[in-house]
Amino acid sequence: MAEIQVLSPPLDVDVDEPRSVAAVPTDSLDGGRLPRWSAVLVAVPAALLTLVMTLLGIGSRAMWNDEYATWYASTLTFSDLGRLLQHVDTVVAPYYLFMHGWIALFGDSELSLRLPSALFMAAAAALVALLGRRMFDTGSGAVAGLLFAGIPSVTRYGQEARPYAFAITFAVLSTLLLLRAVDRPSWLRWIGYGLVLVGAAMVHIVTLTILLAHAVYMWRVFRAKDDFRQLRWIAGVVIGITGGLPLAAKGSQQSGAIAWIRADGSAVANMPDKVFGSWQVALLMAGVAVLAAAFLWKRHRSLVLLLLTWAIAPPLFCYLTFPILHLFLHRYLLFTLPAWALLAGAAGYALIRFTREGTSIALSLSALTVVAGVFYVGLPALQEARRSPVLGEPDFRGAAAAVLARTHPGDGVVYTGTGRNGRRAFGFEGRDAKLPKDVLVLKTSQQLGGFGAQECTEPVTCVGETRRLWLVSATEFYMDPMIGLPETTQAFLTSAYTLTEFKNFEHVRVFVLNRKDQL
Amino acid sequence: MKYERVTRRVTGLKRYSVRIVAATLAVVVAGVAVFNAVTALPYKRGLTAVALPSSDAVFGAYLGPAAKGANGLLAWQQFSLTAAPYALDFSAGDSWESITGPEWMLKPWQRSGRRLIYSLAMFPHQPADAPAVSELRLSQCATGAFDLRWVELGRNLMGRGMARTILRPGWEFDGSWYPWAAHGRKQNYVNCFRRIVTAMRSIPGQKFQFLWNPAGGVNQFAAEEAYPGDGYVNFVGVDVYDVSWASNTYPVPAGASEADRQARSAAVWSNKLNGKSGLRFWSDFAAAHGKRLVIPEWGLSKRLDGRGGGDNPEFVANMIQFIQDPRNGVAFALYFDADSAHGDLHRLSSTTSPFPKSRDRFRRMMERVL
Repeated sequence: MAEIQVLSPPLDVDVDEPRSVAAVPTDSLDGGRLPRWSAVLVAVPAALLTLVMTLLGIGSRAMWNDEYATWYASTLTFSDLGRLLQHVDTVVAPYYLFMHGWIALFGDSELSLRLPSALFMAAAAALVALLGRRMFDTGSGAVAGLLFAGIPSVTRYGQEARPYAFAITFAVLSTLLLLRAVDRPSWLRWIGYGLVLVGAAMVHIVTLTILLAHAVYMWRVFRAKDDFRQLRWIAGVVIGITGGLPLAAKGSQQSGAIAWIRADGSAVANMPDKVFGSWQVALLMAGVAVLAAAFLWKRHRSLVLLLLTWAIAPPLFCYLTFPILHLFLHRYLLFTLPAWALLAGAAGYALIRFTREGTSIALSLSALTVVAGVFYVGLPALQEARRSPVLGEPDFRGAAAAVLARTHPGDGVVYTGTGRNGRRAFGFEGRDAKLPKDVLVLKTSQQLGGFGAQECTEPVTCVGETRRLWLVSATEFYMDPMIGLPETTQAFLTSAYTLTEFKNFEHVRVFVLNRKDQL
Repeated sequence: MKYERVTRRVTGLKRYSVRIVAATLAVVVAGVAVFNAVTALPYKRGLTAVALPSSDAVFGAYLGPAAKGANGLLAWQQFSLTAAPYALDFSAGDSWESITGPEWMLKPWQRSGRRLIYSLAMFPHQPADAPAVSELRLSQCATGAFDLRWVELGRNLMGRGMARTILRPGWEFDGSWYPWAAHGRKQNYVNCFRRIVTAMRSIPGQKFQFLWNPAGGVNQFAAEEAYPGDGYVNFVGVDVYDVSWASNTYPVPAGASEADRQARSAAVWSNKLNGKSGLRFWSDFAAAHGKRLVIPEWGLSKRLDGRGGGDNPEFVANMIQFIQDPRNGVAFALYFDADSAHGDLHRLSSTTSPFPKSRDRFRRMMERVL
């Protein structure tokens, strides 16, 4: 018996309870195991609910800065993209390349740009459910998947043309494959695990910090099992890290792009709110998760440690290494959400297992009340996730529509702003229309291999005789609209043009400047 | 044996039925919560931000009484680069004849075609009046003793085609400096205000509007306690001058650095904006009562006692920004472009203005204001 177990450990083994499957009936009303196809029943509701959450309104919200960047980079020619990636955003390169192909197939509407994220988010939910089923029982998996679907951030980043949904999926998948490989540590399984880690590194390098959690789990496995084949884990890790290394190395040279990230007191205090997308949901889920962890501690210590380090170690790592790496940003840490969902989803299971042997789906499903709670306290945030424009971001879509509705051939446009600049946004919003001429541009962002253009310093020659200028000013309503432009340009525009009209949008205003000498 | 099996089966079923009921309940509860959430999602159009309305605030100024003011506004328009459709004037308070709109007062405004904001003394008064006299007059007004005077004023205005005049009865009543100061007799003030409104509205064809105008800032009492009511008020007004009696503000000490001066100016502005009875308060108050906020008087100040901010371009910029911010709902704002008799200087448009830097700033900002 012992021999067999070493060769082929039971499917649901937790290293703390090597005989758990034999000794403890799980997964059923009456003690028998549920058939394999029940996995589908667990995964489908989570995936479907996530799809509903992410597809509802997926194209309604206006794009924002980072999504405009995705569109811009993914629609460049390959040579321009190559030049861009030499300077910035190398760590997102695989995503841009993927989107390049996607856009070629499905176009560049908001829906199309965001659809991959929605699909990956649904896959992540399904995998969370499967992982929960593998770790605890079918009921816990089902609940964990639904909990995940209810997190406001899952909606938000499932509707966002950025690679974060991909990162979550790879993080969950790698952990699922880790458990499978520990069950039957064949080379094939460990290599598969390693390849998924490469994927995680490719979509977002910070995702690799999940290895901290995997390491803790494997340390427990090594202690519990005299099986050298578990050391093959190291091979998998080496594959993952080697695969991700070139991106990380190149990316570290471009750290200027993330130099604005902060890790001060308020950044730390706001982190749960930002990661979950709602502090109420964060509080509820983390509270239930901690409770579940406490109840599971005795019988499932390895899994609890795996999930807790998955949830907590990455932010901690990013915080501690912040002076060097500057990676303490909520979006980079979204892949920790499944860990919270899995722990909280196991709340019902945990209560039962704490009090007695055996369990049942019906009792595990009692944790569905937590799902109800998450949807109840999270509703305002779920609505807010669909806010257009994203809170605090300029309403470039509205501004562009106002300009496009009235622009004539021969008009020019000037972009300025304090935090954002409308040039790229207008590029997207006006992609199928005729935008006014960008009069100040000396060298385009394509030529420079960056996201910004170089503007000319001699406005008199650049602007020429343009009769009407649209000034797109991403400034607050109370600011001088020309803030951000060089003094010489400001002086020229003020002397040569008269302001005749303006329109306010959220964090951006559009001004009409008419040439004075024509009056 | 058989019996035992049956009981086991029954208790077993019982046990499962409890579980099944619990599970079903949990599924239903979660299902309802999810359904409620999903159906409450704004998926069709998103929580789309409504474009902010652009400000329709109108700028203007006070340049002096009657003919002087009417002529001055022409130059002001050149200076401010904007049309000035509103005009402000003050009734002299020496007699009922002055209050009820004498020809010398009304004719220049009639000819200017501008909409007059007529600051209305609530009763005639002399500098030497004892407080008891003012108190008596205010109570007389409150009980309707002067109603016919208000009708007379209304008729005078109507007779000159000035039916759209905005009346500003008993302005700055929350201060101590006018005889209609409402401190300690708020009800009389409120009733007097209401009598004026009622009397003037009794004239057929009138289109008068009424401006209720605290001085704002910390005064003798919370001005909102003397609000006559939504039915009697068309505009809520507040006057803003760059003056301060708070410690570490004005006077700016001689030889202070520019940075120090700006810090003091910023502190004063912060109080004007967010302080007790400040601009934000009145903007919110007006909005809560469905009225537009107006700023019938605003200005820089250079005072003999040093309590004015002097040449303070930041104050000008802050005021223009506040007036332009559509969220504040300002309908019009008039710069007090005249010096007062007791050495309090405000003049801005004049080339001999004591505030040259502010004057430049005002011009530059108005070039970009529409």
